[in-house]
This record gives sequence, C-alpha cells and structure tokens, in this order.
Amino acid sequence: MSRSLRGVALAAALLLNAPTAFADRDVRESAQVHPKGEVEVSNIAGSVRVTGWDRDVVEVTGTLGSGVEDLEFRTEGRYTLIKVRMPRNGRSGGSDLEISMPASGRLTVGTVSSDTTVQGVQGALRLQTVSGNIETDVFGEDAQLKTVSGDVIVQGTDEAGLLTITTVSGDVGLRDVRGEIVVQTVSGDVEAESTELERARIRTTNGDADLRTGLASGARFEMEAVNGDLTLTIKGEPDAEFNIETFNGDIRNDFGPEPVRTSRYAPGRELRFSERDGSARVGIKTLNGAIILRTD
Amino acid sequence: MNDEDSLMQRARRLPGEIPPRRDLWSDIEARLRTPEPAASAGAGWRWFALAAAASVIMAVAALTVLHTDRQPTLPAPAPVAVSTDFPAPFGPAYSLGPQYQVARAGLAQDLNSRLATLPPETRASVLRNLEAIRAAVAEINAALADDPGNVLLQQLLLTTYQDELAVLADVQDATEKLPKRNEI
Repeated sequence: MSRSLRGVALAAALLLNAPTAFADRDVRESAQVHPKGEVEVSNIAGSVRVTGWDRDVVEVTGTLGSGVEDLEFRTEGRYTLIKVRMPRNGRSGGSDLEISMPASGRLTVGTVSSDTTVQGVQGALRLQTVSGNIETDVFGEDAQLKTVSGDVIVQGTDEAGLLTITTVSGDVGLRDVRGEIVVQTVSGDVEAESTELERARIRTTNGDADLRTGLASGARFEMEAVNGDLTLTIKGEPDAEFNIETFNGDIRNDFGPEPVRTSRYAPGRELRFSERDGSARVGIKTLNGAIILRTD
Repeated sequence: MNDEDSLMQRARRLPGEIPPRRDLWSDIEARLRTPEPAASAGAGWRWFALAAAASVIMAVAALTVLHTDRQPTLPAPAPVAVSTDFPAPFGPAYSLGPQYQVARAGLAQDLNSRLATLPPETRASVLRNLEAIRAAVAEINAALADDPGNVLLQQLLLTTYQDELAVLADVQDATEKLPKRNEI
C-alpha cells in the first residue's frame, strides 16, 4: 500500500472510530477492603450512588462520560479511592457511578454538579457538592453534608448522632433524625421532622425553617433568622424554658402567655416563659421574620 | 621540515584533471527527456488522496466539535466582579476588629477568580446570597443606629457577619477541595 493510501486509510479509521473515542464507557472495579475502612469518591459531573452492603468489598460499576480519561480505583490499607479523572483542559461528559461498600465503613464524596445518593452506609459521612443534590440516610455516626446551591434530603433511622448541614441556597429536608442537628443556610428553606432531639441549631438569613420534634430532657434548641419565618412544633407536652424574641416580626404561639412589646417605641416583641419543669431551653430569634410556636 | 617537503612533493605528483570513466551527461539527458506515465498517475492520485484525507480529518474535527458541544461540562471561567473590600460596622459607633477583617480578607482573597470557576447558576446564587447577607447587615446596622443597646440586634448582626464568613469559606472550600480539571 502506498504512503498516500495508508494516509487515507488512517483518516478513515479515525472517522470510523470517532464515536467510540468519545462515547460513554462502562466500568467495573472491585477490591477486598477493611469493613470499617474509608471510601472516598470524586466525580465532577453525573451521579454518584453509594449503597452499604454486608460484604467486605468495594465494587464500582457505571459509565464514564465521553472524554473522561479513566477511573482511578485504588486501595491502600483502610483507604479506597474512586476518582473519575478528567482530561486536562478538555471537555467531558458526566459519569454515573454505582458503588457498593461495607455498611460499617466511612464515606467521603466530593462532586461539583453530580447528584449524590447514599443508602445504608452506617459509618461517618462527609458529603460535599457544589450544585448537585444530596440524598442520604444517616445512622448513629456523624454526618457532615455541604452544598452551595444543591438541596439536601436526609432520612434518619431514629439513631442519635451529630448531623451538620450547610448550604448557601439549597433547601434542607430532614426526617426521623435523632441526637443533634446543626443546619445553616443563607436562603434555603429548612424542614425537619424528628421524634425527639437533644440539640438543634438552625440558622438562616432569608430562608424559612420549620422544625417539628419532641424535646429530649435537657434539650437545647436555637433557631435564628434575619428575614425568614421560623416555626417550631413541639410533639408532646413541652417541658422547657422559652426565650423568643423578634425585632420587627410577629410571634404566634398556641400555648404560653401572650407576647409582649419590648418597647413603647419599637416594634419588637418577646415571649419568655417556662412550661412544667423547664428542663429544656428553647431560643428563637428573628429580625423581621415571623415566629410560630405550637404543639402537636 | 622533511615531512613537509615530502608531502608537497607527493601533492605535486597528483594529476591536475581526472576525466570521467564514461560520458554521464548523455544518460542524464536521456532520462530527463523520457516521459514517466506511471509517475504522473501517482502524483495525481497523491493529490486526490491528500484532499480526501484532509476532508476526512475535517469531518472528524466537525464531529468532535458537535459531539463535545453536546456534553455537560464545567463552564468556562466567566468574569465576575464582586466587591470584597468594604467596612464591617457594628452599630453606629463601632466596627469589627482587625482579627475579623484579617479573617474576612483571607477568605475574600481571590473570591472573584474562585467564583468564576463555579457553574453559572451556582455563581449567581452565591452572589445573590452574599448580596442578601450584606443587605441584612445594612438593615440591622440601621436598626442599631436607632437602638444601639439592643442585644437582639447585636446578636443578629454578629451571626450575620458569621454567615458571610461561612459563605466565603464555602466558596473557598468548594473551589479548593473539590475536583478540578487543573489538578487531575
């Protein structure tokens, strides 16, 4: 074959192979790991779904997006890294990863726009994304969830732990969590439901927060907003000391005394009272937002 | 000296001109005049082949551009301009001290370039929320100007400043620790 013919053949081969060069690729990796080891996942775009299982094995299946270099999968001692490697200065599609890991292991996930879903991982969680959503269940271990604009949904298992959630504009939804929750958002709305909490700190600037829970004996609750509305619905008979204050908003309560004006000349209102032994302490403060206190 | 004389004598003995053993020009002239039909056809095919290869490569390039344009990717950095230099008043007569200013300056450093690496919607969201925090700070400070001793306002102002630090820290965290193309 002459050199010219070989050139044409090469170019034609390039053309024919172009779809596969840029097409999605399936991946499958697995390794034996320590049952309480840490798994770290890094994926810029696409999705990450992690499931805890009863095997001492980490397994990854899924699809790497077009243009992705490869999947780095390595285990060192108790640490396993699963990382979608992107080309330098290149374009690439999102990758979808399905990961199974020991249920008692710890998990760290970092993404930019990937949605993250975690189910059945009972070790500590550290899930972080920029614009993706996070959906996870939590057990007795600490969980730290952070997004900028993504939403966070947490399903608890009525086991006490420390749950810390930070968003800038993402909404937060919690259900059946126990122990301590710390939620901070600027404009996201917060909706939390629990059988009972020992500690709760919810802070928003412009978002609304709605907490519906029982108060553990000696519980400490703090809710604070600048312009958001705050609602606390207490399950059962309240046994707490309440310290509620707003500079320019309304206070609406279906138990306890009537709120009073803080000054003849200022619009502020406050409500301070104690129910039963006053075992728990509840503080709620806003600048302009309304405060609603009720029992369920 | 003797060596040099000997060398010169040997050089003088060399012939002044060496005639070719046969007449080369007649062969060269004959080859120049003789047409080569096979060679001409090869040249034409070569041009055609090169053109075809070029068009195929262009097609591949076009397909590549079309294909990659459809893929979700991180946005190219966009110019962002948000002021990171403003005072932090705490009521009518005070401002937050140098430690706070240092902390905020540190977090706000390179804020614009960091924001530029975020997805556009997220970037817009962060800017909106920073603006909301600063509006809240201004509103609380205005209220404090009328009621400087109000403890609730002081508490809210402090936590609102903390919110701002938290957002700045989140932006720094998101752009530093999360995977980026440049560091992979």
